[in-house]
Amino acid sequence: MTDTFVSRLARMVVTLAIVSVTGFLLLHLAPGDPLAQFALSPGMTETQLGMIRHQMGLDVPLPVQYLVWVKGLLFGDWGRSFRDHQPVLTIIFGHLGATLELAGTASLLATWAGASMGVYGAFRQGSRGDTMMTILSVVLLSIPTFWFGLVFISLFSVRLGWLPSGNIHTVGGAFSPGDYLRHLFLPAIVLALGSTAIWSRYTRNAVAEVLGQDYIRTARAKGLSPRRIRYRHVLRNALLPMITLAGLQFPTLLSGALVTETVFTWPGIGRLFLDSLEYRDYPVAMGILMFSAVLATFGSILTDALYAVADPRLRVSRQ
Amino acid sequence: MKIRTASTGMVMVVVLAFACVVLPLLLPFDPLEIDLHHRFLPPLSGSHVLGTDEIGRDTLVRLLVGARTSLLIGLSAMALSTLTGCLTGGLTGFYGGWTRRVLMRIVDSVLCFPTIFLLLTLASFGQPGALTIVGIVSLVAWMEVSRVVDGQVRALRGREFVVAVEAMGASAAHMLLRELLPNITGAIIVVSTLNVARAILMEAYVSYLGNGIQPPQPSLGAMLNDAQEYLRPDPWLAILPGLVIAVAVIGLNFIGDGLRVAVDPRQGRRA
Repeated sequence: MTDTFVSRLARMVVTLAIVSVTGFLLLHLAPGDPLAQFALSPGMTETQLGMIRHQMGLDVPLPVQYLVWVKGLLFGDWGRSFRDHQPVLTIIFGHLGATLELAGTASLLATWAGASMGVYGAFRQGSRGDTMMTILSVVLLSIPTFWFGLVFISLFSVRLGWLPSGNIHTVGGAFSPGDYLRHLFLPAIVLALGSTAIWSRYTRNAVAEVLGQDYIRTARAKGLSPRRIRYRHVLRNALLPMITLAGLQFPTLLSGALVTETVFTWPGIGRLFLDSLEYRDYPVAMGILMFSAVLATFGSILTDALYAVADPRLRVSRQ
Repeated sequence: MKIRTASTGMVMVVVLAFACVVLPLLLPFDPLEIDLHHRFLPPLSGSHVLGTDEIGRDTLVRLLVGARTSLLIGLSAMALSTLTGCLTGGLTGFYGGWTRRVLMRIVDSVLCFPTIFLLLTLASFGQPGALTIVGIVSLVAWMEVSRVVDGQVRALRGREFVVAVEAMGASAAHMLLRELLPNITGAIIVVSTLNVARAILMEAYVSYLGNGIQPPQPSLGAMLNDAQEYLRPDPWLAILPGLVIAVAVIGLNFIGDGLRVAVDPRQGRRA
C-alpha cells in the first residue's frame, strides 16, 4: 500500500515536471512579446524597453528563467503579473472563488441530473425513455458549450429579458443574493449540460453492469423488496465506477469553465487565463497552468484512494 | 436500437457532406460576396434561403463552405492522429518496458493540460489557418488512439497466433503490421470516428476564440463569434451554425457508438 503510494507520488512529480517544462517552453517560444504593451506607448526608447525587460527577468537565457521560476514556485513565490504587478497567487485566489461557485453549482446540477437519468435508463433498459435519454446524452455531448450559451442568452436575456446575459452581479448595483443567483443561473446550466450527459452515460453503464451480476439475482431470489435491492445492492455497488468519473471530471471543470466564463463574462480563472495568454502575461498563465495540473494529479490520486476505501477487493493493488 | 441510430448518423453525415460539396456550386451566391442593401435578412427571404449576415453575405453558402472546411479538417486531423497513435501505441504495446513507461508519462502530462490551453498556445506558433488547425488538433488527439492501440496490442501480444508467428521467425515489423494491427482495426476505426467528431468540435472552439480559420473565410466557429454581437437584430446567425456543427458531430458520434457495438458485441449487450 505505502509502496504503491510512494511510486504514485513519484509519478505525479514526474508528470508535473514535464508539464512545467513543456508549458514554460510553449509559452515563451510562442510568438508574441509581453513587452508589446509598453512598446506601443509613444516616446518609449530602446533603453527603457531594455530596462523593463531586465526588471521582468526576461533578459537572461531561457533555462535560467525557468530555474528561477521553478525555485519561486517551490517556495511559494509564484512571481508577479506583468500587467498589474500583483503577486500571481493573490490574483489566482482572487478569481478562484467565482470559478468555484460556478463550477461547483454546475457539477452539483450535473451529478444530480445525470445520475438520475442514468439510473432511470438502466432500470428500464430498451424502453422508449431509455432510448430517448441515450440519444439526448449524445446530442448534449455533440454541441459546443458556447453555442448553448449564445442561444440561451439570445432567448432568455435578449428576447424575453428574464435573466442577465453576463457578469457576476449587476454593474454598479449593491450585492444581493437574488441578483447573484439570477446571474449564476444561465452559466451554471450551460456548464452543467455537457457533464450531465457524461454522468448519465456513465451511471447508466455502471448500474446496468451491476444489474447483470449474480448477487442481484440472488437478492431477488431471496425475496428482498425491490426497493431494498435498488438502494442496498445496486446503487451502492454502482457507486464505485462513479467515483472514478468524479475524479476525472475534476480537471475538466476548470477548462470547461473557461469557455462558459468567456461567453457570460464571468470573472473567474478561465477568463483570467485567456486574458493572460492574450497579454503574454507569462507568470499568471504559468501559475494557472500549474495550479490546474496539480489539481488534476491530486484528483486522480484522490480517486485511487477513495476507490481503495470503497472497494475492499482493491486494498492491495500491486501487480 | 444501436444499428438504427448508427444508420441515422450515417445518413446525417452523408447528406451533410453531399450538401456542402454540391450545393455551393449550384447556389447563385459567393460566400464572400458583400451586399449592403440586404443585411440581416431572416431565413426564407426570397433567394436567400437562410437569410444574410451583418454585411449581406448569404448565410446558407457560408454555412455549407464552413461545414466543408470543418469536415475536411476533421478527416485530416483524424488521419494524422490515427497514424501517430497507431505508431506510438503499436510500439509501446509491442515492446513494453521503458518505451511504454516513457510514452505513458508523456500522455499523462499532455492530458494534464487544459485542452484549450494547448490548442491556443500551439495555434499561436503557426499562421492561423486550416493546416495549422489540423496540426494542433492532431497533436492533442493522438493520445487516445495511442492508448487504445497500446492496450489492444498488449492484450493480443501473448495470444497463440502471435506466438506461433514469432516462433516461425517473423520480424517485429511483420508481427505488428501483418498480425496485430489487422486484428484491432475495429477498435481503431471506432476511436477514429469519434476523433473526427472531436476534431470538428475543437476547430469550432479554436475558431470561436479567434485563433482558427480567419475572416473573411467562412468557418462555423468564427460565424458564431461574429453572431454574438448581433443577437438582438438576428438570432438566426447564432442558431444556424450551431445546428450544422450539431448535425455533423451527432452523426459521427452515432456512427462511432454503433461501430463500437458492432466491433465488441459483448459490450453491446450490456450497454
